[in-house]
Amino acid sequence: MNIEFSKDDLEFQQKVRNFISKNLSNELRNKVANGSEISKEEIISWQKALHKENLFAPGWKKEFGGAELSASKRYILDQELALADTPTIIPFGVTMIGPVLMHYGTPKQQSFFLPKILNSDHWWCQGYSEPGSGSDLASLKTKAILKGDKYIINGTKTWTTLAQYADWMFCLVRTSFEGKPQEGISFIMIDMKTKGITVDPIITLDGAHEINTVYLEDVEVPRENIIFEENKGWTVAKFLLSHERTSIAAVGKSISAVKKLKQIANIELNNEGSLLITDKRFRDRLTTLEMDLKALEFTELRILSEENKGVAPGPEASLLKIRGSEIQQRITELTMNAVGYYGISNDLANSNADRSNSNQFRPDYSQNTAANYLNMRKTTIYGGSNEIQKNILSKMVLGL
Amino acid sequence: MNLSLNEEQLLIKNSAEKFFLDNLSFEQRNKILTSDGKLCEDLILKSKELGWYGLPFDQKFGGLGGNITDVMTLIETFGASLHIDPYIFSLLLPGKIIEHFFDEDKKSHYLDKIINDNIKLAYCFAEPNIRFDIHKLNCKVYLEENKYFLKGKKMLVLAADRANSIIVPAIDKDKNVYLVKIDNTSKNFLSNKYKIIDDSDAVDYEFDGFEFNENDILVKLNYEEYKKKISIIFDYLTLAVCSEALGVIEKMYKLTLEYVKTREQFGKRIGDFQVIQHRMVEMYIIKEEMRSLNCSAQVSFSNNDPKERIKSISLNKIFLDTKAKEAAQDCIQLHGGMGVANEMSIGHFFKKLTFLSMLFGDSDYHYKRYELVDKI
Ligand SMILES: Cc1cc2nc3c(=O)[nH]c(=O)nc-3n(C[C@H](O)[C@H](O)[C@H](O)COP(=O)(O)OP(=O)(O)OC[C@H]3O[C@@H](n4cnc5c(N)ncnc54)[C@H](O)[C@@H]3O)c2cc1C
Repeated sequence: MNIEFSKDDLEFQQKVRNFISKNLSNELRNKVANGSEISKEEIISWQKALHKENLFAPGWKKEFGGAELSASKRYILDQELALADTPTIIPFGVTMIGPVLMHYGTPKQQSFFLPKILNSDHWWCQGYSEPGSGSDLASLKTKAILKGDKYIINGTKTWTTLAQYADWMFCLVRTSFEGKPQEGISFIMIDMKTKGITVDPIITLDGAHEINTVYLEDVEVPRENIIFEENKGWTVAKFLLSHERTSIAAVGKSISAVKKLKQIANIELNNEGSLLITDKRFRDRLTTLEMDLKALEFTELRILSEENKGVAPGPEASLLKIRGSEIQQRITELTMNAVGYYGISNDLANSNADRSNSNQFRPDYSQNTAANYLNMRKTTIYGGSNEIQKNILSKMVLGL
Repeated sequence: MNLSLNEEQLLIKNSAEKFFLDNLSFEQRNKILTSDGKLCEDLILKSKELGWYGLPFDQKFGGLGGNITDVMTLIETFGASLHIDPYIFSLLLPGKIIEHFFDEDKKSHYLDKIINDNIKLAYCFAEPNIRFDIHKLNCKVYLEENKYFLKGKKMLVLAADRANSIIVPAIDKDKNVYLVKIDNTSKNFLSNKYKIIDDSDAVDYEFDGFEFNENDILVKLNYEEYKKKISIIFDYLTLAVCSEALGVIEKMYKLTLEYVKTREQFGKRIGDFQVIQHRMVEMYIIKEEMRSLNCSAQVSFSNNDPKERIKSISLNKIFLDTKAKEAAQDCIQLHGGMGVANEMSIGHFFKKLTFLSMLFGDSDYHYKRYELVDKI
């Protein structure tokens, strides 16, 4: 048993580091580091740069233009990108619809969409959830009725992440009301410029505009935009969900966040005036967090190591989602504790306010602390809530 | 023994609830918060007609002479309605400072002003680098050629933006503490106003050799005396914070219970799932425990045993920053996506609770404080 990287892996790691130092501006790095909003343009140009070095689609097959990296290299890449404060890759294209297209798409769909995903020319969003269908996704009501060679789609999708930027949406729609609810669902791709689509912002607790409601009113979508077969969308959706569940663990991001938290605790003072990192109570909580993170990291590595041998991750991956999301939340909570009173200002509201007569006691590292804490509440809710993940584990793994 | 509210207290509670029902629905609150501030001042003036400003203070100073339960009962209703008057910071805190520190003449003068006139004060309790320890003072007073100067920083001065004057505590080289009154409109220091996550405002100040008059010294006393007095005041204020948080948690519990009873998934109310039932029960127990601890703290105040008081207050604050905070997180979780949408009220209660759980010391601070007092 070892986790030593091969010579080849280490060279790859160096390559990634070189790439980052050449391509990531200080400005962008700082923005990512203090949790500021990254613009659409910044994200796209970062993704394009990654693609140029063939680092954007590490899991894709070579025949589709991917890098087809080994599990250990993908792990290295993930870690390096997270530790260096690079912008988060938007998963909807490259890690969600991409693999779906490679697995289920027609050659025509593949040759049209895959290159545009690779080159970040298409921004994708995910249209699963509806106001009445969250955890119980199979109950979704958005209707697609076939008329000639077009579907006419009516319904409402909600919580749709970054739909305001999207060129395309992959969407679950109801094409049949017969049989079990799962059996009447189809997976379809919708051009966001189509007539009848309205995207309304939903502002979250931190004041950010990250999610939306998408109204679909008599939206005409060509029949050929369906993936796999009509009424077989549930199979496709399940395939995709299993991809989402592993990437949602965010181990690299959490390792990076803990590192930052430690730096803060090496500057901030406790109530007695000693460095916070030497405060026993704080330190113990930090160590507990690191313990859980280490366990998560090696659980992920164990799953990756099976994957290296060709065993696909099963429902066990739900445990990564559960712990990964909890850890992300706990880090932001402990960071709140670490920065104390600096951390409770509403930075999004303040960044719009006039700062001409401002004195800056607030250290940079305390920016957006509350916003991050509030924003991270989502992690245990989205991607299948943690309660639902536990239901999956108890049924599929424990057999209860 | 009697731990329930008496008739008068029930009256305070009911009339406050009625006031909020009429004047501060979630929609009305949003409207007030997005307006220029006049609507907010109007609401505060209207609330003063109910005698809320006089309640915590002695009758001989123009107050109504309410006891601790009267005051905490009122403040709890603020939490349940997300009241937008920074009552704790623009009335209670400066009022208690006046009550404990000022001589009789000044006491009558200033209390009357903040209770009955529309004069507003704010007290600077926090500084950078002292974390939550209100006893520490780095802000300095010094004399040069018979003139007084201030040097130092004050942060998170709540309700300061609407105050006519701020009260700045500062210390000189002989360990005398001065409470200095400073005109908030002066241009001779830096100030920076910002929003807190609960939509209230705070101001940071930096005095870099700011000159003030001897007349502006409201109080001068030695540091040991200052510490003793400020400690009692902040125990009282911390209890007020815990009472407001109790109102918040009660309301979050109610909203969440209602939500799990109506939201349906998988053809059932989500409250039909046993995990959710157990979590709601846990939340119910937590809010009851929180109320009980609040009672214990109120009792400790009337007992005149400072150790018991300090311990009891700290237990309340630890509970708020640990168990109540977790319960609040659960409320968001059980709302699913709705929990993180700013258009729902639940998230605003969550933000208020997040703020209150840190204010005047997080659990780390209060664990330590408890430990120090409980030494055998
Ligand atoms: C920030 C954010 C971004 C999102 N982005 C997207 C996106 O891009 N595209 C998309 O399609 N969706 C997105 N979602 C939606 C997300 O997938 C749903 O919020 C999630 O599936 C939960 O559904 P719901 O919000 O309707 O909550 P509900 O399903 O109503 O659940 C409410 C509560 O009940 C619990 N619950 C429900 N059923 C059970 C059960 N059987 N047993 C125990 N507990 C149960 C849940 O765990 C939750 O705590 C996003 C959500 C958020 C918060």
